[in-house]
Amino acid sequence: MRTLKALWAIPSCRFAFAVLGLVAFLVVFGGTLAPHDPLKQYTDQVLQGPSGDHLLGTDYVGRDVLSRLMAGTRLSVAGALEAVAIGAVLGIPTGLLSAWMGRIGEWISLRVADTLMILPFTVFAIAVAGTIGNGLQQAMIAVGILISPIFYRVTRSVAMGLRRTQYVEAAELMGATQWWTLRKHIWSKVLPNVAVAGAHATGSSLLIVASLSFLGLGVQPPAPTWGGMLSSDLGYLAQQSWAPIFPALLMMATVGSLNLIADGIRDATGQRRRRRGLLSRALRRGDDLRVPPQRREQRKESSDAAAA
Amino acid sequence: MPPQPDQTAPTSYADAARTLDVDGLQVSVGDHLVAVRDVSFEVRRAEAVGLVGESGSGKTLTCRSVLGLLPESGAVDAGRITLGEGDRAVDLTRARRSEWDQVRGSRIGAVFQDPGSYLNPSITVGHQLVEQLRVRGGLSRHDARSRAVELFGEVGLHNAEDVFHQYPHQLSGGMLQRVLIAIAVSCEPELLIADEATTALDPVVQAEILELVARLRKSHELSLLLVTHDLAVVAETCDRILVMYAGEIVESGPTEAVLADPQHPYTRALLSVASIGDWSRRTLEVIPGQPPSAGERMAGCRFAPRCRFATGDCTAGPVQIVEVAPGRAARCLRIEEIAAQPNDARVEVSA
Amino acid sequence: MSVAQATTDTAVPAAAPSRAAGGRTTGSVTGWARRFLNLLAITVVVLLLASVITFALGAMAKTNPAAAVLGETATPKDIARMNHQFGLDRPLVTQYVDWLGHAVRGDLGVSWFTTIPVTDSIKQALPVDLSIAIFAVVLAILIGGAAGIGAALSNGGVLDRAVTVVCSILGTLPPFVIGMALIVLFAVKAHLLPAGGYVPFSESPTQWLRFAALPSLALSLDVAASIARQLRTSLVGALRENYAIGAQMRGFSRRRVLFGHVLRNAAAPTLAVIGLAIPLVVGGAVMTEKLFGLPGIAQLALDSSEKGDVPVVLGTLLVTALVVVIASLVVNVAQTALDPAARRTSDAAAKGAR
Repeated sequence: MRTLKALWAIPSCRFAFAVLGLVAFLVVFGGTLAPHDPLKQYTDQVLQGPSGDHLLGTDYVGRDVLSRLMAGTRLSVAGALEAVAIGAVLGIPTGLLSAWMGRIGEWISLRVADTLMILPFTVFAIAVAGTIGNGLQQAMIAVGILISPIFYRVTRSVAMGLRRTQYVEAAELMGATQWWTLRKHIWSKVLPNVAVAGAHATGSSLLIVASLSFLGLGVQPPAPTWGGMLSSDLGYLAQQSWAPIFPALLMMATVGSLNLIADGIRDATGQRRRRRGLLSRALRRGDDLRVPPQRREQRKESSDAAAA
Repeated sequence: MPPQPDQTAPTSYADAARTLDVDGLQVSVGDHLVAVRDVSFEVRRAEAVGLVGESGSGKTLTCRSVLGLLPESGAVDAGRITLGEGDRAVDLTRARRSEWDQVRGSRIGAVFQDPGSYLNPSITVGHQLVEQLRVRGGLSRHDARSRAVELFGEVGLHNAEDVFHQYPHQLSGGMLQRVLIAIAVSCEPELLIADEATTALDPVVQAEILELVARLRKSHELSLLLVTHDLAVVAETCDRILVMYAGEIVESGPTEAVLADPQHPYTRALLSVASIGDWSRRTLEVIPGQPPSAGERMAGCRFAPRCRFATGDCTAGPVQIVEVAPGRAARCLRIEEIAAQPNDARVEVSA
Repeated sequence: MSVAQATTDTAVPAAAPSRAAGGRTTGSVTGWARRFLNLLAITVVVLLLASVITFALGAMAKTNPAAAVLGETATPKDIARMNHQFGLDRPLVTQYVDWLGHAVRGDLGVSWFTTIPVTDSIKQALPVDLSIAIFAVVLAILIGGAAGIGAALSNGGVLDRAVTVVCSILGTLPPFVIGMALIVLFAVKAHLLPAGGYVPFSESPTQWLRFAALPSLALSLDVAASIARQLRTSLVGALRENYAIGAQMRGFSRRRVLFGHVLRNAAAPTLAVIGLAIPLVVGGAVMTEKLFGLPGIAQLALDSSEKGDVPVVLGTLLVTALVVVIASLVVNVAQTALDPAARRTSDAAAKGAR
C-alpha cells in the first residue's frame, strides 16, 4: 500500500497507471463496447481510411479496426499475463529453493536456467506448435517456461543475499524452521524485486505474444489480437501504410507504461540496480524497506542523473 | 626573532627565466562559490615551489587550473596563468583543447596521489610510456621502446625490461609513482606538478621518490610545483613556499626563512602544530575553530575568526598581501605588532 | 626476471620473487584452465539440456509419422509399421541416446513426409539466417556504438536525450513492427530497397546486400538500443575515472583518450549485453524472415510445424540452440580477452610459458 502511494507520487507512474487502467478497462469491456462486431466484414468498405462510421478505418476484408483493437485487447493481454503467471510459478519457488539446495542442485538449476535463456522464443514456440499443437495455451506455456529464468534469477539473487545476512542466520540458530525463515524474512524482500521483474516480464511477454501471433502461433485468426492485426496489415502496407500505427501505438503505450512502473517500484522501494547496494540497504534497515522522503528525493535525482 | 633579511637572500632563481606565472587567479566551483581568490605566484626555471595548505584550502584547485583539469563544476573566473616566457609564452587561461594538448604532457608533466588510478588498467605501463613518447615526443616505435626502458631505469625502476610488460595492478604504489614520473618527464617538460604525490606512500618510499624528483630537477633543469599538506616535505624539497589558507595565499617566501620566522599568524600556528605532530587531519585541533568553507563570503581577513591578534580592522575590508621583506610577503595587517610580542605568545594562538 | 637484481624492495616488480619461484605462474595457469574448463562444462551441459528439451518435445508429440503421412486412412498395422520404421516403438531412453548419437554426427533424421535428410534442409536454410543475423550484429555494433559514444560525449545534451528517448521507444516495440516501419519508409515510400526476396551471398554479394539490408537493419535496431544504452553508461563512468583524466593530462587528444583508453575498458560490459542479445537476434531473424519472405529456418520450421513433421521441427530447434551457444561462447571469449582482470591471468600464464 505504501509502495503504491509512493508510486502515485511519481508523475510518470501516474501516467502509466492511467494507461494501464484504460487497457484493463478494454480487457473487461472492450469487446462489449466495441462499436461494431470485430469479426463482421463490411465487404463494400475494404481498406477504408478513418471515417465517422469507422473511426480508425477498416482492414483488408472490411472489418472495423477500432472494434478489433478494443476486442483484441483481452486476448493479447490475457495471453501475456498467463505466460507471466506460468513463468512466476515456475521461477520464484525454484529461485528461492536454489539458495538452500546445496551446491550440486544449485549448479544444475543454474544450467537449466541458462538453457532456457538461450532458446529463442520464436523457434521454441514453433517447435511446441509443431509437436504439441498450435493454440493459445500451448504458446503461452512455451513463453512462460522461457520467461521463468527471469523470476528464477531475481528471486535467487535476493534469497542468496538474504541467506547470508545475520538475522536469517540468527533465526536459523534460534531454531526457527526453514519454512518460517523463508516466509517471514525473505518474502518481504523478494516481493518488490519480483514486482519489478514481473512488470518488465509482462511488457516483454506482450511483445512476444504479439510476435507469435504475427508468425501465426497462439491465437488463431480471425479472433482479433494486436499482433494478429499487425500481421494482417503487413500485406497491405503499400495501400495502407499507416494502418499498423494504431495497434503499434497501443502496444507501445502499454509496454512503456509497464516499464515506467517497474522503474517506479525500483525507486519507491529503494532498490538499486546493483545487488550490492540492495544488500547493504537490506542489512542496514532490517525489515523495513521504506525510504525516508528526503532520501527518496536524493535517490531519484541520482537515478535521474544516471538516466539522463 | 625579528625578520632577518640575510636569510631571504639565497633566491638564486630570481634572475632565472620564468616557467610559470600565475597572476590574480580566481577559481569558483559549483554555483559561483569562489574557492580560490587572488592567487599570484611564479615558478622560475629549475626552481622548486611548495604550495602548502590544509585540504580545502584551494591548493589542489590552483594546481588543477594550471593543468586545465578543473572538475566539471569548476571554472577560472579571473586572473591569468602564463606558461613560459617570450616566444614560448602560452596564456593557459585562454587555451583551447588543441593548445592544451600541445602543453600537457609536453611542457607540463604532472603526478598525483594514488598513481595507479591515473594509469590505464588494461594497458601495460611500458606501452603507456611508449604511447606518450610517440604521441607527444614524436619518437618512432623503435626509438620510443628503447627510450622507455631507459627512462624506467632513470627513475629507479630495476628490471626495467620486466616492468615494461607489467600492468598497473601488478606494481606497488612506489613503483607506480615512478612510472608516472617517468611518463611525466618523458617529453622534457619545463614544469613538473606534483599534487600530494607522496602522501599515500610509506615514509621510506616517500623519501626515495622525493630524492628522485630532486635528482630529475637537477638533471632536467625542471621547475617543480609541489602541492602538499606536509611541511616536512616542503622543507626538504622546495626553494620557496606558498602557504594557502581558505583559498588565499597568506604567506610566501624562501622556505628556510618562512619556516624559521613565520610572519602570518596562520603560518605560525601551522608550524607549531607541525612540530607537535602529524597535522594531516582535516581540522587542526590546536587552532581553535574551523577554516571557513569554500566560497564563504567574508569582508576581511579569512583567518581573523581564529586569530588571537585579530582586531576590528582585520575584518573591516580585504587584506592585501604585502611584501614584508625582500622576496617575502604576507597577508596580515598586524605583522609588526605580532613581531613585537615575545616568541612564545606569537606561536601560541589559542585565545 | 632474476631475483638477484632485486636490490631494493620498492623498485622491483611486486610479483617478481614469487613468479620467479614459479608459485604464482602455476596458480595463474590453473586459474585460467579452470576458467576454461568451467566454461566448457557449462557449454556441454547446456547443449545436453537443450537436446533433452528438444527430444522431450518430440516425445510429447501427438502426431506420429503414419497418421501424419497417411492421414485418416492409416490402419493400426500401417501405424505400427511406420513407428517401427522410425524407431518409435523403442523405449524413450534408447530413442534419445540413439537420436543424440546421430545428432552429434550431424544426422538429424529424415523428414516424415519427404524423407529428405533434415540436415540437408537445414544446411540450405541456415545460411540465410546466419548471414542476416551476423550482418545485423555488425550493424547493431556500428549503430549502437556510434549512438552510445555520441550520447556519452554529449552527456546530458541534446544528442544524449535523443538517444535515450529513441532507445526507450525501440524497447517498447516488437521487432517486426520496426521492420514494418522500415518497409514503409525504404520500400513503399522511397522505393530504395526491395521489401522482400533473397539472393544468397555466394551468388552475388551486392545483390545479397540489397536484399539483406532491410531485414538486418530491422533486426539490429533493438540490439543497437541495448548496446547504446550500456555503452553510454559505462563510457560516462569511465570518462570520470582518473585514468581518463590521466590520459588527458598527458596531452592526448579527445579522440585518443576515447578510442585508445576509455573505450577499451567500457567494451567488456557492452559485450555482455551483446551476448545476452544473441538469442533475441536469432529468434528475431526468424521473425524477420517471415516479414521479408526469406527462405530460411523459420520458413522451414513453420512449414513443417504446420504439417507436423516432427524430425524437421526438432532439428531446427536443436540447430538454433547450437548456433546461440556457439555465438555466446565467442562473445564470452572476446569478453575474457578484453577484461583487464582476466587478461592479468592469461598474461601471467603466457609469461610462464615463455
